[in-house]
Order: sequence, then structure tokens, then C-alpha cells
Amino acid sequence: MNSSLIREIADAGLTGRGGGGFPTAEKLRVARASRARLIINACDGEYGSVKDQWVLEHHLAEIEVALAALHTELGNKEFPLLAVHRGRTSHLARAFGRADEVHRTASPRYNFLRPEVMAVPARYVSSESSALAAFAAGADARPVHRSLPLAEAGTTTTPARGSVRVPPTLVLNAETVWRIAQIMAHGASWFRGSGSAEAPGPRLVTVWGDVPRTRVMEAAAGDYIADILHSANAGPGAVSVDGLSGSWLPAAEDRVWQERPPTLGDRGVGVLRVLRNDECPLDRVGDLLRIGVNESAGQCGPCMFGLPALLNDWTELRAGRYQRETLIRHVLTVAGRGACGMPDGVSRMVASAVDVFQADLDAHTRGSCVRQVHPNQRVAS
Amino acid sequence: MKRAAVDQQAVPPGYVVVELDRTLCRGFGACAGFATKDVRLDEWGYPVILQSSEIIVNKATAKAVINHCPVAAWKKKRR
Repeated sequence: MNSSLIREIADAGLTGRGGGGFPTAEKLRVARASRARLIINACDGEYGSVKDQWVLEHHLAEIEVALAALHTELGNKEFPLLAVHRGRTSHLARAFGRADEVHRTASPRYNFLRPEVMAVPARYVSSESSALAAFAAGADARPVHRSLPLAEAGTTTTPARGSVRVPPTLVLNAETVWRIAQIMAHGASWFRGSGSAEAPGPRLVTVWGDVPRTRVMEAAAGDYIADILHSANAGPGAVSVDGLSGSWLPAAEDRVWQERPPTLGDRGVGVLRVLRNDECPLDRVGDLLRIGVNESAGQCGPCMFGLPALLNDWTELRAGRYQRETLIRHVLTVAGRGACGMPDGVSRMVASAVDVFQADLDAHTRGSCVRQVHPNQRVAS
Repeated sequence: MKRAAVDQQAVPPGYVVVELDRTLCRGFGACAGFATKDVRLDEWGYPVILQSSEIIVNKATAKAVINHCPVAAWKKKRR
């Protein structure tokens, strides 16, 4: 089983479900060669995501079966860690209780491995893979510069943070590990029965905002987002895809939904937040930017200075003083220039908002708002 | 998982790969004075470079960039 595990995962075409969408088998091969330590990321770090929590509550037993196999495969003696955010751990007792029940009643018996819980500071960047690996090694939970892939060579935290040696570490999202368990149980061809060629298999999506209740739904790359929203009984407002690291879709009335219906991508964490139709999307973009500014680890210059600059641009724009060139220049300045992908994601999210909400931006320039009475107007009247 | 940004085969003889640790960089800007073709500075004084966090420069430039950074944010890439 074990020597063929990675081959089976490669045949299945499994990609990481934590956002990056990197081929899992490729990561595992590197990690096995370096006997990397395994961390399961169940932090639900992306804004609004609750799917990791859902996976633990419903499928921890399967995850623990996959862990036993992965532990043997990787040959690292340390216990695998299960990373969750501090203060968001109330579901764990329930999850472990259910898993115990499943293991106890299982027939035939099988091997499983219980991970050790690692509660990390509840910050956006602390659930980034190098931050988790650094935290596990006893350093601060901040992203670390890597010369080579983390699973291959580990890294060393900066001298200012005590030069802690971070061993080779493989970080897999909780849903990814659950998918490994499913591939072990049902095989690669079953897995390839859904999804796209680049990202086969089922994937989870959190739908929240203007819906009767927040839901975690099973979908697949290539699925029409309109269908997912329809099943969730979502309202007709604009949609934020994947929070700070994602993009925007216009409200249901926009022609794009008929002409080029948006589909679920090959990558991404899988979060759909539906805005109320009377909510100004420009405000929500500003909220996400503000979170980005506040959640920055404050390490890399482009993030430290670039994100506040973008927030300032956005605030100006929101007030009707739209300086497209400055905003775009800052988007381009920030992208691709951090130790982690956070500034990248945030700047792309803003760029997408500029594309999608052109009508809203024009209205704000005229001192009104498509969605509601603009505050400036309210003052005037 | 990040792939290696620079294909090592593409490094010409006499040249080396130098990488920037952005968590260390404080925007002193000395690098831009030495690697004028490969590094420019953004409006806050932080290096803008072509390939994510690495530049390919000749040995003399590499030495200058590495030795003159006050916070030792530039390092020769191990491989």
C-alpha cells in the first residue's frame, strides 16, 4: 500500500485544497526524500472559511487513517500536528469524540494515527505554511523566507527572530488529507470522476453572507458558481470569492452570468460570500483591505507600505476621488513581493474589484452609489 | 509549494544567483546602486526585481550587493 500511495495520489491528480492548488503527490515525493515533518492545516485562515472545521467534525476518523499511512510513508518520527487557530477550538472535542466512535465500531480494524493539536495565534498570516512550520519549531508564527521549498529543505527564521532552524516540513490542508483518505478507499479513477483535468475530484466550498445559513458544500472545479449559489438559496448580490486571496463577481443582474457564466476555479480555498443586494461592494472591498493591513506580519516592505497605500487609494476612490493610475500602480508594486502570498492575494483582489465594479466606481465618482444612497448625498440633502 | 524561481541551468558561466530575504530588507537601497540593471527601488525604497526574490548577476556585482547591504538581506543562493 505505502509505496504505491503516492502513485495512487498522482494518478488521482489531487491538488492542495488550501488555496495554492499544488499537486499533492509532487509535494509528497519531495517530503518523503527529506523525511519532512507533517502538519495538517485546519486553521480556516481565509476570511469566512469554515470548511476545515467541517472536515474535522465529519471526517476526522478518515483523516486519521490517512495519517497513519502518510506517517509511514514520510518516515518522520515526530507526531503529525493538527494546526487550528487559537480561540477556534470548540469543535475539536466533538470531532475527536466522533472519530473515536467511528474507530471503535470499525470492522475490520484498521490503523489510524491521532495528530497532536497545535493552537496557533489567530492571525491571517499565521496559518501560512512557513509560519506554521516556524511555530512548530518554536519560533513566532510568521511567514519565513525560503530559499528552497519548505518540504524539501526547511528554512531558518531571521536573526531578529532568533535564527531558529525550521526542519523540512510538509503542510497539507485538512481537506487535502481527507481527499487522500478517500483516494485510498475508492481509488484514483473514482476521484477523477469529477472536477477538471487540472484539478480533478470533489472540493469543498463555504457559502456565507446573504444565505439562509452558512453552508459547506461539495462542489468541483468547473462547476457553475450560479448553480452552487442557487443550491445555497443565496441572494442576488455581488460575490466575494476566496476573501482576501481571491476575486469578485458582480451581482446576479450583470450580463456576465448569462454570457460567460463564472465557474469554480482549479485553485482557491473555496469561499463564496454573497453580499446583500443593498450593500455597497466598494465598502466590502475596503473591509477586506483593512483586514489585510491589520493582519500583515509587518515584515516585508511592500506589504508594510503597499497595503496601507492601497487602502488609502481605495478610501479616496470610495469617496469619489478615483485615481485609477495610482491604484493600479500600487497593485502592481505590491504583487509578488512578499515572503508569503498575502500581499499578492490582496492586491489581485483589489484589481479584480476595479474590473468588476466599474459601474459602482463611476457612480461614486459622480457622488452617488448604485446600491444605496451615498453618504455624501445624504449629507447634501 | 513554491517552485524554484530561477532555473539553475539558465545561469551563465561567471554569474551567480543572489536572493533577497524580504523579511530582513529595510529598504536601505544600496543594492540598487550596484545592480543597476537588475534592481530598482519602489516608492518606499524597497527593491523591485524581475524574478520573485532572485537576481542573476556577475560575481563582482554579487559581492557588492551582498557585502553592502546593512541588514544582510542578500545572500548567494546555495544552489
